[in-house]
Amino acid sequence: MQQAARGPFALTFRRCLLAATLPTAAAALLSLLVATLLRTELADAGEAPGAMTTWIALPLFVAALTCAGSAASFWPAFADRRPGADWVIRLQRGALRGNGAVVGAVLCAQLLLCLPLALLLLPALGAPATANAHFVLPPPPLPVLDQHQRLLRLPGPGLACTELQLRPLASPPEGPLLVPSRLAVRADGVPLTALEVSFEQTGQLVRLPFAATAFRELELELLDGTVPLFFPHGAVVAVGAAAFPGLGNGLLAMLLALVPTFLALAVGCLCGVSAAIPTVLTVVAILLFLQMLGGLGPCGPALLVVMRGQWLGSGSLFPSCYPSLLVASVAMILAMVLRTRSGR
Amino acid sequence: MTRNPLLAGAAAACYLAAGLLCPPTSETLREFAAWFARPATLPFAWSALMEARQNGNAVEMFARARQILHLLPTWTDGYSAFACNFALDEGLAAAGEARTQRAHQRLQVALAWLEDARSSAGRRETELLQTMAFLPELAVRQEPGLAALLPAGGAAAIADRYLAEAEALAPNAAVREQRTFRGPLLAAGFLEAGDRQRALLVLDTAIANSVHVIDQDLATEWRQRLVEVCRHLRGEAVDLAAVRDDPRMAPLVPYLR
Repeated sequence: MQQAARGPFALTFRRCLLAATLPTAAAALLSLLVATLLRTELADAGEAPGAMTTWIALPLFVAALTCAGSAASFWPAFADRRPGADWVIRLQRGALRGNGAVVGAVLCAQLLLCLPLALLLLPALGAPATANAHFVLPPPPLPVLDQHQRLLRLPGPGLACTELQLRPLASPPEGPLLVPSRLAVRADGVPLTALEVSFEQTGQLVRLPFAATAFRELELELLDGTVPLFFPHGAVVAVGAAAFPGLGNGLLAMLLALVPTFLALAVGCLCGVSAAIPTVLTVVAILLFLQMLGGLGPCGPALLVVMRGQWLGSGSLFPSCYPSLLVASVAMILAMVLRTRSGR
Repeated sequence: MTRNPLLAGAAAACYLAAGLLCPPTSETLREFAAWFARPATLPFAWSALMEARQNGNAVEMFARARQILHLLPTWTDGYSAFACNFALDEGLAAAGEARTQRAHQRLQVALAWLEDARSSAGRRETELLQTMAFLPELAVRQEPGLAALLPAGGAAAIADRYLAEAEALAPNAAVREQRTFRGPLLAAGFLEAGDRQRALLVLDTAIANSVHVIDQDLATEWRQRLVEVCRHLRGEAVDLAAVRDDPRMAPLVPYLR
């Protein structure tokens, strides 16, 4: 027990919490302040929690950066030419020289720091209390409604849904006059709504609320109008009837926020085989910045989905993490092989 | 070693003297801070705006636009385009009787936002006032029931009030008629978002406003250009050579392919 408390995991975990708690809390308070000011300004226009993602991403980034930075500079075997590294390498006989435990400790510390953000900051920034699954209906091979093709059939989710969101792209009108295209929407052959559905501009969003209905096939029929409509992937979304707790959604987002940190530390660990700590820290910081604020990783889209009240479990965000996880795993394996070969 | 403290002391003294001789205002300090904030945040703010346009709703897009314009407070064209987009967005329209109320609320929010932007617009304040004069007319054309909710005199009275303020700021006979010449800029904002119908609404209003142009030859020629653009946007085959050669139509040209 005592040995475990003095192992790389426990030591790094404590170090990360000591280094990152205050900066994360400060960043969270600053974000809350700025977001509150912006929300006050926007009060007349309406709620737009999706626009507040920046202010949840900032404390997450601070937590990840301080945890990763403090761990990388703390553990002597993480980078080349560190004082005390020889002692650590003698004691840590594993192929990664304790770096695997260090990475694990950083991820655990970040998750612990992010829990209060999910519990307190997300609701304070306006994240909906419940989330609904959003099912993107796959389009047929030629997803166009025009004078030549007036009917589209899309497979439904087969689960109870309460809303349909249509956002097609529009082409220039066929013929001399621009007449909005009107659609009939049917689920399993039954009209879904009595509301008129018409489109005249590209990217126009139409929401069709209806009583909870489970359907296996959705039909979109062009009734009249001269505007050809194109329904690419994502243009037809069914909103599930089941409401999931927003808190669970927030926790899933915090799990996804660990992926950029894992990737950054894994690549940092690989660089550390032959690079000194300033280089390693720069690589880690840049990778975290690009993934968490630059929108390259799953973190940004996950936060956006949470703030818009969409259930994370239903989308494709978790599968989108596989490339990052794969790259990180390969980097860790390479680091292991290179460290074993070099004896460091 | 001895020179460094001396140089540092001299630099500090110079800074102190500069501060005493020319004390910075809060606006100067804010602008100074914005120099650093802009390059660090604008690329992400723009990509977030594009994401909101593609997948979010109009309020989210409006919020993102406001975040961008906090960093660019003197960009009056941006204020005009985003305010018009919010005021006229059909995606926010309600069904039934609430539709007119919502249109009125959107117009009020957009006008209040433009009013707020006047303080930082500097010499381009008149352009904001011209947009504010233009916007109620656009909103009423789109939602005719809105006229009943506007103060006595309707959109024309509101436009007159803002144009009178613009004339007071820039005593110039052309201020009132320049409102029609802002049409292409505002329409380009809608075309950039793929919103052909709102662009046509703006251009039709600009055509109607062209009667206020004092020089009738100029008004006729201007109207002709606008009509050609409208016909093209409605899908008719039109020779656009004159439009492309007209520098006043430059904002629209990229969208007339």
